[in-house]
Amino acid sequence: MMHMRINRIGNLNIGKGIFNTYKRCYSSSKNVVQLKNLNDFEEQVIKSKAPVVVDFYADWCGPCKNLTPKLVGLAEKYDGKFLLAKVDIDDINCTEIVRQYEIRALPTLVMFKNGEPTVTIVGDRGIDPLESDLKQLFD
Amino acid sequence: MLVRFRRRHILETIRKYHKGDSNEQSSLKHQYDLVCIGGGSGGLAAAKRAHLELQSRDIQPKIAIVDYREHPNIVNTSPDRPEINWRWGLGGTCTNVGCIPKKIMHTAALYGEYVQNASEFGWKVPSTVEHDWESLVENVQNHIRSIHFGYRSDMMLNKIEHINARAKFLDKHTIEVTDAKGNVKTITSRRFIIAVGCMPKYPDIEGAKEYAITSDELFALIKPPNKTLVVGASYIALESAGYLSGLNQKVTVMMRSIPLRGFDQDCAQKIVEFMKERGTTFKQGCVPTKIRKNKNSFVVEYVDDKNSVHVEEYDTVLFAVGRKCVADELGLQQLGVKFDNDKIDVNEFEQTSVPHIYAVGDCINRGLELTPTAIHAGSLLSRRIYSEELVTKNHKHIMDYTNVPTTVFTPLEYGSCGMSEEDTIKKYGQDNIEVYLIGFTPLEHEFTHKDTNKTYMKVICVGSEEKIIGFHYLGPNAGEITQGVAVAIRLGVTKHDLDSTVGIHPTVAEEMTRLNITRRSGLVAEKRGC
Repeated sequence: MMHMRINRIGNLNIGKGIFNTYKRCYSSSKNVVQLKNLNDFEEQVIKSKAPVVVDFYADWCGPCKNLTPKLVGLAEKYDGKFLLAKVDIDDINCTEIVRQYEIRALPTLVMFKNGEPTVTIVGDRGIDPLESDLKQLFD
Repeated sequence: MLVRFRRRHILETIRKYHKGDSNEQSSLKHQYDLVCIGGGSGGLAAAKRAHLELQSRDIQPKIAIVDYREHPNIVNTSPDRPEINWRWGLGGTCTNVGCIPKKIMHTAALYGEYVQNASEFGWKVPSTVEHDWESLVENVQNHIRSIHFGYRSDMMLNKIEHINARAKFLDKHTIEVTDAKGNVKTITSRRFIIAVGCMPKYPDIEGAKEYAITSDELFALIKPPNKTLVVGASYIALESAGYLSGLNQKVTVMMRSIPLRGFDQDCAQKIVEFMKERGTTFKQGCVPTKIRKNKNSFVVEYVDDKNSVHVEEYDTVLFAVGRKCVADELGLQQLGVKFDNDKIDVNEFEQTSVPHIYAVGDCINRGLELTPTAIHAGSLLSRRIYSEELVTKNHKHIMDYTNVPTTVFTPLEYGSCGMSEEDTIKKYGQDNIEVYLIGFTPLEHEFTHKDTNKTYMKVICVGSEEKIIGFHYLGPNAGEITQGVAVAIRLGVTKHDLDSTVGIHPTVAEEMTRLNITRRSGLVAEKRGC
């Protein structure tokens, strides 16, 4: 709903306005990264020493818009314990990542430990189950 | 006996046409087994079915779908065209600019009706409820993109390659594909299925291309269309005018002559009357001659049936005057592919005059331009070509384009299957048909005192056994009701079958089990009470 208001006030193009909101709020955190391509994925996820949660999302996906802020909040709360890596499935440079992990529905979270995928969660189930899954990941 | 002979003939013909449609030896050097040009209803169905059949024979198929569409603003570069939030993806006309967004908008208009009547049912709803067009369009576009994603993952999982580029034939087995950035690639395939569909037509009048929109842009308009002129008498024109009206836009429909040509005219007139009562203005017998811009709106000059010239200003002008096939841009004529006007000429096996090039959907000269027709035909085509075993007995191998049910989603929805009343009179003669009809009011409408006696059902029978050859229904849930009747008509349902079926109460559909007033009797066909 916040995104809608911003669109009307700023008279921004739909979609672009929402994307800018994402960028504005979340690009400055060291616990959150936007993956650009397969190479980026190899460097930041596979080779990461800390556990990584990969968030597959899209601009047009309602539940994704609900889930991502919750994840960012948890990344801040457990500062340094895990990295949140976001993949925009509409980004043409990320097609290979989407293909490798056979993403069929959104949002999908794939949790990585030592470069291996451990848990895959599809859909937004609420913050408590999410938090307990995360704690299992890095404990 | 004759049926068995015909079936054997069909099976043999299928084997002859499809299996031998291209040189077996040369197929070894082609990059792909099958390339579908067009990723809409027909192309996707054919590609998926082909993959299924080949996989079940343990053959790893190489299939590609070539799909591409230019953004409308690139084609018409005038800055005076309205801003749109538009992105093309897999799914063709149906997903991007057709059935899907249309049905959502129609439903949005219906919700407006429910909200207006809600207080009768005890809901505490404010007396005026506003509609937010921008919000609806954003949600519609987001939904379309989620469907694109669904198709993309389908393609990925089935390993069907999606080539987002414009195709052009270089020779019988080779196409050149050019993407949005101008990169060019050459592709060869053993077989092709053309499923490129149609695009809206613009009339050849001044200002049309610069200032007007079509159904292509309607579902992506960032700002509401407001005072809108819809030019056309097609189902697209009436459906668009219908839901725009329902979404609080001020709508005028301009048509040269009769509404819904080709459809049952008795029903077409009732649809127009209903829309008039709901506040849509109709200018019948009129044709626009010029469009020019005046600050933020458009001035339309038009002539009426007495040749008087009129001028009126509108915020949006929408043309729905027909669709033209885009297959002529593929370079098929040079290969010897025959056309029937602008459509591709195919035989009953959806084969063009070049044996290994097939075509399905809106771009061929068979069948109604409907998504299910394209899907069904595309799927059957792939099964005929690739299935090892042609299923025998009761299976249909060839697309049957007759008795295809349809629904027009105008404010008064219209479902039909079979022939129009005019066509039955032409074919059988007025004395040999019996038309049963009834006009009535659904319980829900009686309760709210709205739209009394607008719902209408008509069944046309022929012969002594009164076989049903036409079913027409005007009213709520037309599509849901007509679908079941379509199955019955396929099985040869008679009036007696309908009369022997017990109705479900209280519904509108149950009226089909107790039709007893005929047009011939001249009695008033309206119901009062239960």
